[in-house]
Amino acid sequence: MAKSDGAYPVIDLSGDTVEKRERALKAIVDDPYTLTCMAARLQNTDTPADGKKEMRRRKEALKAFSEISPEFWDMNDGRSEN
Amino acid sequence: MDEAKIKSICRIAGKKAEDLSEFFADVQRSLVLKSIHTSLNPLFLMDACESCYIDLERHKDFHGLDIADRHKRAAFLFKWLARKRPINLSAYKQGPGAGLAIHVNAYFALMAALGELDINVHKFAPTKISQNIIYAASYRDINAESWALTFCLLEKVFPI
Repeated sequence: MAKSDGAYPVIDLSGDTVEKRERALKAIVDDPYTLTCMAARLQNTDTPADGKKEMRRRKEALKAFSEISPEFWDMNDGRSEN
Repeated sequence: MDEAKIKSICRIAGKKAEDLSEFFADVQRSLVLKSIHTSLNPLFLMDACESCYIDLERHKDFHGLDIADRHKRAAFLFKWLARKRPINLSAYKQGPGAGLAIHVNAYFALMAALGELDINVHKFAPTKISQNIIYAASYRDINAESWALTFCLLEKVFPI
Protein backbone atom coordinates (compact mmCIF):
# COMPACT_ATOMS: atom_id res chain seq x y z
CA MET A 1 0.00 0.00 0.00
CA ALA A 2 2.56 2.53 1.09
CA LYS A 3 6.11 3.10 -0.07
CA SER A 4 8.20 5.98 1.22
CA ASP A 5 9.30 8.64 -1.27
CA GLY A 6 11.36 10.38 1.39
CA ALA A 7 8.58 12.73 2.38
CA TYR A 8 5.24 10.93 2.34
CA PRO A 9 4.22 7.33 1.97
CA VAL A 10 2.88 6.81 -1.54
CA ILE A 11 -0.74 5.75 -1.30
CA ASP A 12 -1.83 3.46 -4.08
CA LEU A 13 -5.58 3.14 -4.49
CA SER A 14 -5.42 1.96 -8.07
CA GLY A 15 -6.10 -1.70 -7.36
CA ASP A 16 -7.81 -3.41 -10.26
CA THR A 17 -10.38 -5.13 -8.05
CA VAL A 18 -12.74 -3.87 -5.37
CA GLU A 19 -11.01 -6.15 -2.86
CA LYS A 20 -7.58 -4.66 -3.55
CA ARG A 21 -8.93 -1.13 -3.21
CA GLU A 22 -10.72 -2.04 0.01
CA ARG A 23 -7.55 -3.56 1.45
CA ALA A 24 -5.60 -0.41 0.58
CA LEU A 25 -8.23 1.82 2.19
CA LYS A 26 -8.30 -0.33 5.33
CA ALA A 27 -4.51 -0.12 5.59
CA ILE A 28 -4.77 3.66 5.41
CA VAL A 29 -7.38 4.08 8.13
CA ASP A 30 -5.44 1.69 10.37
CA ASP A 31 -2.33 3.87 10.16
CA PRO A 32 -2.56 7.29 11.85
CA TYR A 33 0.65 8.54 10.21
CA THR A 34 -0.66 7.76 6.75
CA LEU A 35 -3.90 9.53 7.62
CA THR A 36 -1.94 12.59 8.73
CA CYS A 37 0.02 12.48 5.50
CA MET A 38 -3.20 12.31 3.52
CA ALA A 39 -4.44 15.37 5.39
CA ALA A 40 -1.22 17.13 4.44
CA ARG A 41 -1.69 16.12 0.82
CA LEU A 42 -5.22 17.51 0.86
CA GLN A 43 -3.74 20.71 2.23
CA ASN A 44 -1.13 20.62 -0.53
CA THR A 45 1.75 21.09 1.80
CA ASP A 46 5.13 19.99 0.53
CA THR A 47 6.74 18.93 3.78
CA PRO A 48 6.14 15.90 5.99
CA ALA A 49 3.18 16.26 8.29
CA ASP A 50 5.08 14.99 11.31
CA GLY A 51 6.74 18.40 11.62
CA LYS A 52 10.23 17.04 12.41
CA LYS A 53 11.96 19.06 9.71
CA GLU A 54 10.22 22.25 10.80
CA MET A 55 11.09 21.60 14.43
CA ARG A 56 14.75 21.05 13.58
CA ARG A 57 14.84 24.31 11.62
CA ARG A 58 13.10 26.23 14.42
CA LYS A 59 15.56 24.90 17.02
CA GLU A 60 18.46 25.91 14.79
CA ALA A 61 16.94 29.39 14.44
CA LEU A 62 16.47 29.65 18.20
CA LYS A 63 20.11 28.67 18.71
CA ALA A 64 21.27 31.28 16.18
CA PHE A 65 19.19 34.05 17.73
CA SER A 66 20.17 33.06 21.28
CA GLU A 67 23.81 33.72 20.44
CA ILE A 68 23.19 37.34 19.42
CA SER A 69 24.58 40.03 21.71
CA PRO A 70 22.05 41.60 24.12
CA GLU A 71 22.45 45.06 22.53
CA PHE A 72 20.82 43.70 19.37
CA TRP A 73 17.44 43.77 21.09
CA ASP A 74 17.54 47.41 22.10
CA MET A 75 16.13 48.42 18.76
CA ASN A 76 14.19 51.56 19.56
CA ASP A 77 16.70 53.44 17.42
CA GLY A 78 15.29 51.44 14.53
CA ARG A 79 12.19 53.61 14.48
CA SER A 80 13.88 56.17 12.29
CA GLU A 81 14.95 53.49 9.82
CA ASN A 82 11.65 51.66 9.44
CA MET B 1 -15.74 26.20 2.57
CA ASP B 2 -17.39 22.85 3.28
CA GLU B 3 -17.41 21.18 6.67
CA ALA B 4 -15.01 18.40 5.70
CA LYS B 5 -12.46 20.93 4.49
CA ILE B 6 -12.79 22.93 7.71
CA LYS B 7 -12.30 19.76 9.76
CA SER B 8 -9.20 18.89 7.77
CA ILE B 9 -7.80 22.39 8.26
CA CYS B 10 -8.55 22.28 11.99
CA ARG B 11 -6.72 18.98 12.31
CA ILE B 12 -3.64 20.37 10.56
CA ALA B 13 -3.84 23.56 12.63
CA GLY B 14 -4.07 21.47 15.78
CA LYS B 15 -0.88 19.60 14.84
CA LYS B 16 0.89 22.87 14.13
CA ALA B 17 -0.26 24.32 17.47
CA GLU B 18 0.97 21.18 19.22
CA ASP B 19 4.39 21.47 17.55
CA LEU B 20 4.68 25.16 18.35
CA SER B 21 3.63 24.56 21.92
CA GLU B 22 6.42 21.99 22.25
CA PHE B 23 8.87 24.41 20.64
CA PHE B 24 7.77 27.18 23.01
CA ALA B 25 9.23 25.18 25.92
CA ASP B 26 12.68 25.64 24.32
CA VAL B 27 12.03 29.32 23.68
CA GLN B 28 10.88 29.77 27.26
CA ARG B 29 14.05 28.18 28.64
CA SER B 30 16.29 30.35 26.46
CA LEU B 31 14.40 33.47 27.53
CA VAL B 32 14.76 32.60 31.24
CA LEU B 33 18.54 32.71 30.71
CA LYS B 34 18.03 36.33 29.67
CA SER B 35 15.84 36.98 32.75
CA ILE B 36 12.69 37.13 30.65
CA HIS B 37 9.82 35.06 32.06
CA THR B 38 6.95 34.10 29.78
CA SER B 39 3.99 31.80 29.47
CA LEU B 40 2.03 30.54 26.49
CA ASN B 41 -1.68 31.07 26.04
CA PRO B 42 -2.76 27.84 24.27
CA LEU B 43 -6.12 29.28 23.24
CA PHE B 44 -4.49 32.16 21.38
CA LEU B 45 -1.94 29.80 19.85
CA MET B 46 -4.65 27.48 18.54
CA ASP B 47 -6.65 30.46 17.29
CA ALA B 48 -3.59 31.78 15.46
CA CYS B 49 -2.92 28.41 13.81
CA GLU B 50 -6.54 27.95 12.74
CA SER B 51 -6.71 31.50 11.41
CA CYS B 52 -3.46 30.93 9.53
CA TYR B 53 -4.66 27.85 7.67
CA ILE B 54 -8.16 29.19 6.97
CA ASP B 55 -6.64 32.44 5.69
CA LEU B 56 -4.18 30.48 3.57
CA GLU B 57 -7.00 28.39 2.12
CA ARG B 58 -8.92 31.56 1.25
CA HIS B 59 -5.84 32.96 -0.43
CA LYS B 60 -5.39 29.75 -2.44
CA ASP B 61 -9.05 29.79 -3.53
CA PHE B 62 -8.92 33.43 -4.58
CA HIS B 63 -5.73 33.01 -6.62
CA GLY B 64 -6.65 29.58 -7.95
CA LEU B 65 -3.59 27.99 -6.36
CA ASP B 66 -3.31 24.26 -5.81
CA ILE B 67 -0.21 24.47 -3.68
CA ALA B 68 0.67 26.91 -0.93
CA ASP B 69 4.45 26.97 -1.09
CA ARG B 70 6.63 27.21 1.97
CA HIS B 71 7.06 30.99 1.65
CA LYS B 72 3.30 31.46 1.87
CA ARG B 73 2.97 29.04 4.76
CA ALA B 74 5.75 30.86 6.60
CA ALA B 75 4.21 34.25 5.85
CA PHE B 76 0.69 33.38 6.96
CA LEU B 77 1.98 31.74 10.14
CA PHE B 78 4.15 34.78 10.82
CA LYS B 79 1.20 37.11 10.28
CA TRP B 80 -1.19 35.30 12.61
CA LEU B 81 1.27 34.61 15.41
CA ALA B 82 2.43 38.21 15.39
CA ARG B 83 -1.18 39.37 15.38
CA LYS B 84 -2.64 37.00 18.01
CA ARG B 85 0.38 37.34 20.35
CA PRO B 86 0.06 34.01 22.19
CA ILE B 87 2.98 34.67 24.56
CA ASN B 88 2.42 36.48 27.82
CA LEU B 89 5.26 38.35 29.45
CA SER B 90 5.23 37.81 33.21
CA ALA B 91 8.54 39.35 34.32
CA TYR B 92 11.79 40.71 32.97
CA LYS B 93 14.88 42.44 34.26
CA GLN B 94 15.89 45.88 33.06
CA GLY B 95 19.27 46.01 31.38
CA PRO B 96 20.99 45.07 28.15
CA GLY B 97 18.78 42.80 26.06
CA ALA B 98 15.57 43.74 27.83
CA GLY B 99 14.28 44.95 24.45
CA LEU B 100 13.66 41.33 23.54
CA ALA B 101 10.91 41.22 26.18
CA ILE B 102 8.94 43.81 24.20
CA HIS B 103 9.35 41.89 20.97
CA VAL B 104 8.90 38.40 22.35
CA ASN B 105 5.80 37.61 20.26
CA ALA B 106 7.40 38.85 17.05
CA TYR B 107 10.49 36.82 17.96
CA PHE B 108 8.41 33.66 18.41
CA ALA B 109 6.50 34.36 15.17
CA LEU B 110 9.77 34.67 13.27
CA MET B 111 11.13 31.42 14.76
CA ALA B 112 7.92 29.66 13.71
CA ALA B 113 8.19 31.08 10.19
CA LEU B 114 11.85 30.10 9.92
CA GLY B 115 10.77 26.52 10.58
CA GLU B 116 9.11 26.53 7.16
CA LEU B 117 12.05 28.06 5.30
CA ASP B 118 15.45 27.02 4.01
CA ILE B 119 17.52 29.89 5.35
CA ASN B 120 21.01 29.96 6.79
CA VAL B 121 19.83 31.23 10.17
CA HIS B 122 23.33 31.67 11.57
CA LYS B 123 24.11 34.23 8.87
CA PHE B 124 20.64 35.77 8.93
CA ALA B 125 20.12 36.14 12.71
CA PRO B 126 22.74 38.78 13.60
CA THR B 127 21.85 41.14 10.74
CA LYS B 128 19.94 44.40 10.61
CA ILE B 129 17.46 42.62 8.31
CA SER B 130 16.29 40.22 11.01
CA GLN B 131 16.10 43.12 13.44
CA ASN B 132 13.93 45.10 11.02
CA ILE B 133 11.64 42.10 10.43
CA ILE B 134 11.06 41.64 14.16
CA TYR B 135 10.50 45.36 14.56
CA ALA B 136 7.99 45.41 11.68
CA ALA B 137 6.10 42.43 13.11
CA SER B 138 5.74 44.30 16.40
CA TYR B 139 4.74 47.70 15.09
CA ARG B 140 3.56 47.51 11.47
CA ASP B 141 0.57 46.07 9.68
CA ILE B 142 1.47 42.64 8.43
CA ASN B 143 0.51 41.73 4.90
CA ALA B 144 1.08 38.01 4.48
CA GLU B 145 1.37 38.16 0.68
CA SER B 146 4.16 40.74 0.96
CA TRP B 147 5.93 38.73 3.64
CA ALA B 148 5.82 35.66 1.40
CA LEU B 149 7.89 37.61 -1.12
CA THR B 150 10.23 38.81 1.62
CA PHE B 151 10.78 35.25 2.85
CA CYS B 152 11.38 34.05 -0.70
CA LEU B 153 14.06 36.73 -1.12
CA LEU B 154 15.58 35.93 2.27
CA GLU B 155 16.18 32.37 1.10
CA LYS B 156 18.09 33.75 -1.86
CA VAL B 157 20.11 36.18 0.26
CA PHE B 158 20.95 33.64 2.99
CA PRO B 159 21.13 30.28 1.19
CA ILE B 160 22.00 27.12 3.11
